[in-house]
Amino acid sequence: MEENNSSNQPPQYGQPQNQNLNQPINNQFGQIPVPNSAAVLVLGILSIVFCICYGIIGLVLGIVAIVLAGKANALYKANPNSYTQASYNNVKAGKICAIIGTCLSSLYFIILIIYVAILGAALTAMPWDQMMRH
Amino acid sequence: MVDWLEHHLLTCFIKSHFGVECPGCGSQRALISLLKGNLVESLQYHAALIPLICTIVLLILQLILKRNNGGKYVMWAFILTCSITFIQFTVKQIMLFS
Repeated sequence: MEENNSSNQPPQYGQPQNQNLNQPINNQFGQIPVPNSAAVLVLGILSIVFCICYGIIGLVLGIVAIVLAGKANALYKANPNSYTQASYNNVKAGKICAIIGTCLSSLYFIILIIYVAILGAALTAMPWDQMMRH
Repeated sequence: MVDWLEHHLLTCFIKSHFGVECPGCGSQRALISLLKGNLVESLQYHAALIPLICTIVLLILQLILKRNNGGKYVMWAFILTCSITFIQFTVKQIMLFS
């Protein structure tokens, strides 16, 4: 469905107009928000909320948000004039949030794994047999 | 409401299984003390709770109002929340071991 959007230009535009992205945009050209722009922002922010506890959910949400942002970015680049600037800014912000959330969750997970590995090694290396005999 | 929350605290999966605190441990206690009105106690438990609430409010506002540059504000609020969370987490861990 998303591929349809990028390939079929809405007929009222005709040829792409000038590529100036800073023009005032108030939906007067029938522009629509980039698909999934809100979802990217929400998932990007939820990735840290859930990274805070139950880290793996944050990791998954962050990766999903990055993938969606990549798709939305490609759609916008293919046809910048038919999408609103605000939604594209949302996608950019959401992508950065998602990247930060994913990085922090994975960093925390790596630290946790190292910690548990060290703890496990220390516990197995302890001379339990001798300690039990005494 | 506060009473009900106090008796229905979710236990952190990581803390109960590995014995290590996660960066979000303390947020529920912080929320309860915030609801009771103890701002200082709330900040001690989890300093990033108030910025987190602000971020979520900003996010909802942005989704409703669809401002042109609103996404940027949400992003900076998010970065602030993250940095506060992880600075406090690091400080807590260092205090625990020293």
